[in-house]
Amino acid sequence: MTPFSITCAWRFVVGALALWAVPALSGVQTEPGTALGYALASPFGAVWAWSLVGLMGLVMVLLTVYTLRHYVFSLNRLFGKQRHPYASIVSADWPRVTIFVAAHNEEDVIQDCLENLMRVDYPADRMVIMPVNDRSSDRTREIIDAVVARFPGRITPFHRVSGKPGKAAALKDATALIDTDFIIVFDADYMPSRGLIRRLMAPFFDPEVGAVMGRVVPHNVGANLLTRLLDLERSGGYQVDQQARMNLGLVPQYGGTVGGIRISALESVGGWHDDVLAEDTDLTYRLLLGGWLTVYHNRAECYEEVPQNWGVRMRQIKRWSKGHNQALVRHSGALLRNPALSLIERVDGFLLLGVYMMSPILLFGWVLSLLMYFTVSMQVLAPALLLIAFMAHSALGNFAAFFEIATAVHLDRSRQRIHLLAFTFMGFIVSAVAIAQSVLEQLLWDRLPGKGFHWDKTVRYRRAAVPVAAASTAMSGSARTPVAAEMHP
Amino acid sequence: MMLALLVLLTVSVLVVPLLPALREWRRPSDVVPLPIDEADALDPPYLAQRFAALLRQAVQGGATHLGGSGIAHVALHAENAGLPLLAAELAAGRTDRLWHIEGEGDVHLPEGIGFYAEVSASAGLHTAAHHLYRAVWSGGRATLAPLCTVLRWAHGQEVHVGTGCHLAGRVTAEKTITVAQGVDFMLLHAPRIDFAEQGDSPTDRVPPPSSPSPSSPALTDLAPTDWPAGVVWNPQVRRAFARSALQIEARRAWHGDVVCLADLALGGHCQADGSLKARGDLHVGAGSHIRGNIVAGGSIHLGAGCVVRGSVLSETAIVVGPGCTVGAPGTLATVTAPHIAIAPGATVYGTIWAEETGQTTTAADAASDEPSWTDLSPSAVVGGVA
Repeated sequence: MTPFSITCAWRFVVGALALWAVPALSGVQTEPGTALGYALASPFGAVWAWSLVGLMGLVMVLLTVYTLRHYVFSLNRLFGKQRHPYASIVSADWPRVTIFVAAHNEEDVIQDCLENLMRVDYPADRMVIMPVNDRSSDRTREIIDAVVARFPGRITPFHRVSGKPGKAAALKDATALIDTDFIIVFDADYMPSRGLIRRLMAPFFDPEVGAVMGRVVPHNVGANLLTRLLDLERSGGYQVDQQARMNLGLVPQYGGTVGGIRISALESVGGWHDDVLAEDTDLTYRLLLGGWLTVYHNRAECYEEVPQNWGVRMRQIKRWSKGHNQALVRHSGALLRNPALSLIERVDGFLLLGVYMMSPILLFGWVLSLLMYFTVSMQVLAPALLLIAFMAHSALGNFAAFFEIATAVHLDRSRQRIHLLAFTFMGFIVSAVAIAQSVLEQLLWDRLPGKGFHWDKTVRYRRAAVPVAAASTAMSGSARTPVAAEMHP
Repeated sequence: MMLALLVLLTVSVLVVPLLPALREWRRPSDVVPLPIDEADALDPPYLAQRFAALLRQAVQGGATHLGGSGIAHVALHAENAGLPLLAAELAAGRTDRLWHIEGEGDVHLPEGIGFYAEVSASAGLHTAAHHLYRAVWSGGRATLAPLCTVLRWAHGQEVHVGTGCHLAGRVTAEKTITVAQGVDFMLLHAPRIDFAEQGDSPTDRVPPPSSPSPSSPALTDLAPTDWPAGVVWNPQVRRAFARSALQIEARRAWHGDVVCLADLALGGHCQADGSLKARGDLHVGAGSHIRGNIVAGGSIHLGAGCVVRGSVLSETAIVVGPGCTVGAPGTLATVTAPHIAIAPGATVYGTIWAEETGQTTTAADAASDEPSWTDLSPSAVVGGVA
């Protein structure tokens, strides 16, 4: 999950907001006898006027805080001390690990993921690969079983045919079946690289580490403009945002895929919660509150498939938003009250939790600016100073997130793709609208009887490398029956 | 007219910044997925093995150059036979050719010549003292003479590194590496890495192994209730968690991990059946035995004769005391930090990776570096003695 795009989105929206707010602020109507040299006038009275100004001030403070955060992160990545404390662990007594591949109707991609896992350099006798086939209604099961037959003894599939829907519920059931101390989770469209498992496992030699997160890299970059924009966004989100949080001792986020979890840590904080939409964010904060560290490993990179059309992208981000906001409600109080965490950890953790709420807050800011424009006139400073402030805000504050993207592209040594930065505004506006929509749904629509949360699976674009017919043929051999764990909870 | 010009200029201001974006969109020039490093960093002998494969391919194909260097094929039939160096090379004191030396006897590289391309010998290979080598491959034992410099890598079945060598790259071996004192290194990797026990001076003698004498007190098991106030023992995960500095008295034994958000110090001859983590400095008293890993945000100091079965990892520095053992035969481990100092008599099974500076010290240096474990200002002491 990448809240990065959201913070970028509301930054852009606030720019436009400022365009509306400035004329209101600069409308000079001097009123005699005002306090502190400020003059306000409104047909609805002073209380109305000051309330609007106060709320607008709050929005602007939030903007400033998030902007500063982005600048600090970018500057840290460019000039600060970089922390890759586990990247040099190359020889070790590698522990046993179970690798979950979460799959729900993944007939087009599951085979590539499993075959890539067959090629990793982790000791085969210490790695249990378990595709978690969650109630698939397509040919996912056939394909998994065909791969199992080709690699006897290497893969233990878990075909889940009933039970509560959702990834967290499926992982919860799968976790009950394993006997290793660690798990690594992949989504089915991910293509693990050869050294990835060792990189993800290395941080677990630190007994304080409860979860590890790797870096997600889009594979279908060249599909269209959207995938190229998402590639930029992912770069900024991982290469700068996550790594800077790692450098600064803040709160890197476990992202639900390309990540590992220590089972004892998971159990000590209550196991998987299957009533959440973002089990990854939920787990990040439960681990944090439980005294466990989540580590981001920038060199544990894995390819994924990003959405190729805007509708899919909007649904994906709405799902993330709802899950993230759910975690905000559940954990922000405990986080802020926790004396065991440093102040900076609490503040950054809260800002990370609140990132998806900024879009609706900004829409509220738009409304405020309209109301101020039409109903309040004020004189704060000379209009020229306001103009300068607006220019400074537009040039610096608004582009903080884009600065992160530029930093990431520079660090990745990608030379030309940075030219597309100008188009990222478009993607961020779409994200802002989708998130605001999701918050409204969450507050109103989802509360209606019979509604609740709905798991919206992301569409896959890659087509199966091997025709399903071939997979079926492979299954017709004598080795077709894998050791499959079926569960009917 | 003026209005049209104004509109044109305004539109230009808006559109011009978009032109590079439009161009990149319509005519993609940087659209491939970001390349992912597959294995190099996790495979210390990677450079040497890749060179060997390329050289084999070049020799079989009759190539005259590899990687921009000319290949000098030499078949030596007698021990100590000289290399056919050119007069210009002898005059310049350097050769830029890649040497591919076949033969069953050991090869002794000549004095007075620096090798600025790779040297490959099918049998044993001895470098000359004080000289510079880009990379060295040996099918047998590679001996790096004292005070020589290797820029990129050295690899052999066994590698012996002489006193005062400067190893700027990777040194890897199929079996063992032996490292003398006063060596600067970056990455050492082998199933067994030994650090020479004796130097040239009497002060370099390694102190006797730090093991409990028969008359010394026996180990005392730390029960979960023995941890002082402020240290939280979680029986579910078998982990002691301390938010402030912690000292554990000598000769204590426990089962489980210890995580400390400040400095952590263990007295001598402790036994931990688990891992240690300190966000500050971490000191392990002499003769202690740690079955897990040791991780610290600050520096790690392993006292003389410590045994650590797992990896040792610090974000600042590691000092490995005389006679320490990290890893075990068949159970490899990694010792990694920006700065690493290793005393004589230590043995590491696996990898030592110094991200900035690595050096082997003398026994005298190691003794003078050892801090008193009681100097670490703990707020909690386990064992009853403050």
